[in-house]
Amino acid sequence: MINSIAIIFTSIVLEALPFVFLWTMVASAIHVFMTPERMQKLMPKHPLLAYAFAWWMWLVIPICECVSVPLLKQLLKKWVPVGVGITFMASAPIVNPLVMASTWFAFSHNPSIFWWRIIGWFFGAIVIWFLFSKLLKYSRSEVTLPNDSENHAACDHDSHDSHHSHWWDKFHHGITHFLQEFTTICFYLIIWALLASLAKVFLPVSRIETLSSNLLVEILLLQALAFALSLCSEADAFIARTFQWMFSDASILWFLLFGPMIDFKNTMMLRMIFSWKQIFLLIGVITVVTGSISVLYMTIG
Amino acid sequence: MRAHTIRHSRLLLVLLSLFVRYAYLLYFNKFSLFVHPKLHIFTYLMIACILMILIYMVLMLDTKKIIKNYSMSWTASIVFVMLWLLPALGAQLDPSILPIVDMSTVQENNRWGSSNWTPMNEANSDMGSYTDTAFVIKLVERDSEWNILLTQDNYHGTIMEVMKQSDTYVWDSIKAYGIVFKGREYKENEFGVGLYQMSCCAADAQIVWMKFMTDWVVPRVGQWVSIVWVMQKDDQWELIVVSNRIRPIPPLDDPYVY
Repeated sequence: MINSIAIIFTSIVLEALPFVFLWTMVASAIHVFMTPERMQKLMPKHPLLAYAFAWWMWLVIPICECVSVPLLKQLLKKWVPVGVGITFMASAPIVNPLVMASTWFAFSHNPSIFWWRIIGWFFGAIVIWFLFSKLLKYSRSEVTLPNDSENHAACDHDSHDSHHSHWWDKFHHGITHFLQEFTTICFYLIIWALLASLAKVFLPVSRIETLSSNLLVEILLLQALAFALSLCSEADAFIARTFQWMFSDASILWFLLFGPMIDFKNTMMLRMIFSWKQIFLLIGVITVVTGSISVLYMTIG
Repeated sequence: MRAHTIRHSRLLLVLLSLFVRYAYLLYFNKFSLFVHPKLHIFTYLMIACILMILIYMVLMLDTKKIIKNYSMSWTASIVFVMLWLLPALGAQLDPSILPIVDMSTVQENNRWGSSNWTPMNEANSDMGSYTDTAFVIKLVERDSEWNILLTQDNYHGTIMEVMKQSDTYVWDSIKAYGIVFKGREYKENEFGVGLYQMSCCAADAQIVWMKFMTDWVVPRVGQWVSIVWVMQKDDQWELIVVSNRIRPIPPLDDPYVY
């Protein structure tokens, strides 16, 4: 048993690390050269175009959910509509090319998961924006924009970009940011891999059959794990795949959609922007929308 | 400054341990025991990047600025420890925790017995078009005794051919090796011999096996065996396999079919 745990744990880590390493490197380079200020300059002025921009921007900007909330804060500070920001936050961790590539490799044996993750993003982000905006309006709850100076919740180093004018400084900053991000992500990956390997070996078949027969239980279990462990979206596909043998595809899709959009770490950071009431509202909306997509997948997928 | 220096060296060790771990596994051909060879290219890329970063860090080692900026959180220590603790143990997973794909059912419905996907589904559809007997025979490998050889390299293709073109291969003898299993519903004189199959990494491994019938002693479960069997058809014109010669062999260093 110990040998099996060791092999499974090792294989998950060894397989995922190169992806995490390379994607974090690219993301760090873009983090240095593509600042939030530059993004805001690129943002179209027309609201509809701005939504479309927010919808598609993450296809070319590979930043995981670690920095989506600080970016959301920056955007809101610049009076970008809340809806655009939320679309941003919901899209970022799912559809950037690196996450898509990871998902493709992890689920190359079951491409429907990959395509439905894309579909989930495509419709999910815009529905989340719509519902959240309506509910905010209905509950007469206004977003209080942060007026403090720079508060880099995701980066504990003294970044940022505009301070680094020389290319060598930028390069050095990129390396520093990469190393810190990489070790942090590694930490979560290792914890997850350990949990996954323990679950695979010690969950008896009878228990798994019970879980599998109760869709609600398995969905709640996977969602709780996705929320609590704040798994990086660049590695979550590999972890999710290891659970494929005991959970249904629908609940794994829910895990892949829900986790990157909101997790414990992001909830804590969202407190910089929203009240608790608004945060719970957002979590509720994301849960319902991603859940509906998974149910749809289960029905017709 | 001293604390920062220690943290910096810790980070160097994290990268170094990562580099050594991967390089060791690749150099000694053990990496395939954990990760599918199709993903090795990403590992090579990562190793190249690690090397460059290490060189960069060593060059910048004495700079105050970089020492300050490389200050690390405690998570780096955990990563470092876990990377060194990553065990390079035996390659054999406990078969009882793995999903099973019974290859003997391939002929009945052109699908595997389990609902689990395997890459062989693709092979299945590909091979369906090869109906010309002369061409099919060329697809199987034979030894000097005209036994069809079933190895890790030709595992999928040969089984597909033999099971789908059973009329062609009936009374042919086939030589293979693998680990002995016993399915829940198997009778006393039935047993399975199979190998581990990897889709992406060892975490998603499953067992692919063939079901055998024998009038002799059924080998012990978990025993590695070399087996020669003869294809036969019973009264119902269903495919059965009858074990002929079974010989224990030492466990394979690499038990995977890729």
